[in-house]
Amino acid sequence: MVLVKQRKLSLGERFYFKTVLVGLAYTIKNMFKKKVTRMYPEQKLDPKPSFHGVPVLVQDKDGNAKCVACGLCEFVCPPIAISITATETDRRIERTPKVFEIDMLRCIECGYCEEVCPEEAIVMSQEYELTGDSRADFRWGLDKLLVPESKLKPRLDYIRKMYHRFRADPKKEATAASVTTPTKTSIGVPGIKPHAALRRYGDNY
Amino acid sequence: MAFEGGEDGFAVTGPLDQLLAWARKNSLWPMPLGLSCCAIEMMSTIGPRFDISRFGAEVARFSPRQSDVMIVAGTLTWKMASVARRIYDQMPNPKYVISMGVCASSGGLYRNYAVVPGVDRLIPVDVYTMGCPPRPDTLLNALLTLQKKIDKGNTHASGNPRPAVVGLGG
Repeated sequence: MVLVKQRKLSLGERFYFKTVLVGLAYTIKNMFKKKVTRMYPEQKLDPKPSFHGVPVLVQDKDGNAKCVACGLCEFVCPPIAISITATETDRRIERTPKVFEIDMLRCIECGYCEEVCPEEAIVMSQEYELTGDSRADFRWGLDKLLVPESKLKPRLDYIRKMYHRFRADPKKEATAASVTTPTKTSIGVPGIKPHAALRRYGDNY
Repeated sequence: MAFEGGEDGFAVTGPLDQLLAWARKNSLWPMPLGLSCCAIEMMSTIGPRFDISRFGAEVARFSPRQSDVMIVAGTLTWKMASVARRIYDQMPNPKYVISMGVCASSGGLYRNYAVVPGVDRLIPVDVYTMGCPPRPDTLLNALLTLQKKIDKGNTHASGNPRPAVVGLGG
């Protein structure tokens, strides 16, 4: 057992007057400060390009998806929210998704799909406040996922800048080949070809 | 529903169920069932920056008998499932449920034997919310959606919900 001896209060402390005044002064001081509340439904958040909203598919000028249905995002998705069924097409890319579904109630907005995509076909949008009363509403198909490229321009510029350091620069490679100074330090296992998903990082992976 | 009266004051007249819905939707006291990281965002929603009290829902106490809406915020494990169900059963009618975040809505990242694949396996959910965790804005949006649903009378508590789709992504 621990005995705590209580300090004897002075007369002023027992009247409790000073403490009340200090509290009131603090309240009045804060009344004139700038208000911090953001009035949500009227004042919405202004998302920056670095914001991770739900992933959407990029639609090119002809109205087609840029996606080539390689399945890398489906493979890398941690909560397995993406499901793709591929089909053939007469366009130059030859392969396109017939069904592309993202379960928005599974998606955790990690951005791995965007990072792994070799075609810049899936990017994080700035949509972040989805609510609904049925789980079926959250299964987005191609009709909801396709967003024109012009609307996604800030994010596309951002990811080009962000992931640039991982990309192989063709100009640099050309000069490096002509000078023939192989100063590359490979982190990967020598003699083993890197996985297709990693080849986009260049030889420096 | 209408406001009637003149200089002396006014009275609100209308069918009783509409009046009740109007009263209920503007005083939704939440029962915060904070299970993991979503609870942090829920606390932030109650705080001054997002201020849930603007919608009459600031009385967040751990007291199921005095609450109207249960906010399931976080990963619900099977071990916690019976507790969540008991808390829901202790709440007085009419009661509503907001499933906050992907873990509560569908299991989310956790596809394993320990986690309930969506609280709608145990209790009827009125509003689902995306995000991992959702921003406070999203929770406020869910609250506004619930208010609209109460106004229209298509919640589970009023016995007229939208037909639920069972067995998705379990």
